[in-house]
Amino acid sequence: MAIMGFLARCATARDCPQVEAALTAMPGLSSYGIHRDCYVVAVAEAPSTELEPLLQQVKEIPGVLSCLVTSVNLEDEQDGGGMP
Amino acid sequence: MTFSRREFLKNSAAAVALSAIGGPALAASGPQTAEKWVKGVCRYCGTGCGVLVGVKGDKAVEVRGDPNNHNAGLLCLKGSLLIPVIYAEDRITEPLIRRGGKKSPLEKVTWDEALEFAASRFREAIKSKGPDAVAYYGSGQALTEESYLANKIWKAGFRTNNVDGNPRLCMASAVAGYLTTFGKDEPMGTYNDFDSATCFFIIGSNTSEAHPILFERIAKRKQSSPEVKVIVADPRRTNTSRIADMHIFFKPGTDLALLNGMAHVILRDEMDNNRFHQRYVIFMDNEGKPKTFEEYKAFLADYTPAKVQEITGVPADTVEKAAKIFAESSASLSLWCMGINQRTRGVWANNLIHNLHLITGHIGKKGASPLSLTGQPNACGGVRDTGSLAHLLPAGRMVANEQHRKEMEKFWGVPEGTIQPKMGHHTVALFEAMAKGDVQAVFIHCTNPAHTLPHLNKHTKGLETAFVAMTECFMDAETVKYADVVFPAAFWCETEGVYGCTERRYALTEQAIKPMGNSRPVVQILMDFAQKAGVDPKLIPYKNAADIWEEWRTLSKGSPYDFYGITRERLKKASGIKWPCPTEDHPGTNLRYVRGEDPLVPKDHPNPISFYGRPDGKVVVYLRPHQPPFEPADADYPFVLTTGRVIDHWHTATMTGKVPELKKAYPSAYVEINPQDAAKLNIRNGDQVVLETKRDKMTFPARVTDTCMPGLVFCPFFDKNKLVNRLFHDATDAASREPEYKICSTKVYKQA
Ligand code: SF4
Repeated sequence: MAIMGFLARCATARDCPQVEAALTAMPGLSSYGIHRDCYVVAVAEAPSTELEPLLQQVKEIPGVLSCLVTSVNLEDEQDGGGMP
Repeated sequence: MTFSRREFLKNSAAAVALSAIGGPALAASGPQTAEKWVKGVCRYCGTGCGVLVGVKGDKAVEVRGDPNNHNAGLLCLKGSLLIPVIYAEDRITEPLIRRGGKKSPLEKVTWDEALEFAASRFREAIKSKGPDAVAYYGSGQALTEESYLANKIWKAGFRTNNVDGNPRLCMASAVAGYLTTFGKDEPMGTYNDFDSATCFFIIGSNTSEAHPILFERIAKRKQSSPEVKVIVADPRRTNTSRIADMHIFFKPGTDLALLNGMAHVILRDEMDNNRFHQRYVIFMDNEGKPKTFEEYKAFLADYTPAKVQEITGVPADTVEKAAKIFAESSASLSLWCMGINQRTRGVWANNLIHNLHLITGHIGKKGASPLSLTGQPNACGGVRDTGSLAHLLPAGRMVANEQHRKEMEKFWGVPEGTIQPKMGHHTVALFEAMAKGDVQAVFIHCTNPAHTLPHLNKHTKGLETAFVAMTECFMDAETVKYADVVFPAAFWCETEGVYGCTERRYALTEQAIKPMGNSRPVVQILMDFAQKAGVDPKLIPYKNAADIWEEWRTLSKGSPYDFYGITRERLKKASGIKWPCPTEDHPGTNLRYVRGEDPLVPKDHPNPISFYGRPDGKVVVYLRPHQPPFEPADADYPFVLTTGRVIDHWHTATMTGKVPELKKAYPSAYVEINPQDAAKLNIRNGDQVVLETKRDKMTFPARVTDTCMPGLVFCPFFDKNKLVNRLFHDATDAASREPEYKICSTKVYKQA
């Protein structure tokens, strides 16, 4: 499993709570809070092959302007997937 | 409570994301998900985002955005997924040769044998036909030290100026545009201008896909400052237009008329900055003859909005509005890329963008600048600045200039007359010369010409005919099929070196892990090869890349490119420094040519701006008329075909194609066609569509979408199984010699 940190940028501050709710309803996604500059701070846990479609789905959530990746960790996949 | 390793990594990922938007600052000292963090630059586009590579044991395991670089910790998906590329299964890790000619298989050999095999063919070529029988074809993705070294080996060692590379295909017109207007290459602005601009004029650039992190910065600026206006001018309505206040669809190849039309409106309505252009600007026609401001105005009389509408298809009132927004904003920033450069009049189009800034004075202040976006991560720093093209010498010097040649001969310690006075072959001419047998041996580094050259059916003959030695990391690069020798090159963070991105920022990628298998850093390959090929060892006295940097930085001293203050030690600490930077205590320059900002302008200079690129201290507004493209659509070939990138692939996908999630997003090439055209031709989504040009015909699945304006079709060029460049002609700009990839005529029909 890859672990990807990213930011979902919302169009307005009003959009943030519903974006966060939609995002956390998706499997493998967790929110780490809403930032005052209209960002939802999120982490995805998914096979690396699923990261791109997952980001696409997030981009399609109403109110999301863009998704920005900040890190991708592939330690688990490099090690053969045995991470606790 | 105990955290699992997975929980720990998730919390770390969140902390890193938060730090990118001004949360608690994190860098290599952040959550320790890796044993060490090594600073570098993304391997892909000219945005030049800073990265941190996390290493555990002897493996790279994580990529984070560097919070201290211009990207403030943010990356696009491509950049964040660089690690699977390092460990791709088809990495080339051993030297390979073909003993029995082009049709024989590649065989694994020792380094010594591969180097001698290549060197002997170079020696033979030089012996039989002279120095111009050999060539180097480089890349805007090569490290600066590699390009500088190759340039020196070929121009001063082999004594040929046959040194060119893929930047000829992407930004040569931008170079010639800056040179002709300002007297020196490279922009005066930086990415900092994005945070102050109130008008973004984006023309011929799909910034959202080709430079995603820059696009985000524009989008953020617009979101936070409602007064900011974005104008996008492009025959395709790409994702970039999502944030535009105005999208200008112009007929392909009519950009010159549009730009002159905007200038016409600005002068007609007296929205120009008279004080600025009286003080700093001279006017010239195409022959370089001086003209007056009144003559310029008279020239623009032909470009009334109504006339421009006839030529470009852009409604007259749109031309009026765009000119007004551009001129009246407090700070206008122009951004352009291949849509302007890859044209037979690409240099003129560059000049006309500069004209808009010079007549309005939108230059030399925060947020106001013409800023050409570079396609590759090190075309600027590595190739343009080191002069690694057929007509250039380092730090803005020209091959044709005797004084410049003498300066370089003295610096390199070679006898006067060593550097040849005649320009070498530019890219298209080089591959023609290879096909004719005039150039018999070529060294190709870090690029894939069998995929990227225009009119591929013609130019692969050069690769079939000449002896080809190449460095490569990946076996599936199309050019490997033509290689006689393949040197396995260390990839990205397996070696160290400098990249210089769009904004004059030099940044170091440090070595994070060992080169894979038997691959080696390219500076070592080049030096070993040159020695065996007979180059005087005194010319290449380096132990490593740092020694080469030291020589290059010393050479820049006192030149208009002065970065003597950017030492290796500073590069190790800083996440990039912008030149000019003449001393070690200088922080780097944001506003080039501006007194008080640019250290090369004396503090007591009488003018606030000093355009020192030209001896007269002036900049040039050119009278450049509209000219059609080389091959416009006609009755027989009624559509225009254009090409470009998609967000998830880099160039020929030899790297991004290794990442399953990127490949899945764009598995193969397609043709975009407007719904109106599709309806006329009875084409539906997914139908197989034939594109037939005067060179070749190919079939692609259709994507029916209003991205393209009617009459235009688009195919991306990343797919090696559908080499769309077979369809394009190889006509080039008369000055820059950059090919016109953006426009050729084609038939379009549904496959029977
Ligand atoms: S925008 Fe360009 S430089 Fe930045 S991460 Fe993406 S590909 Fe790399």
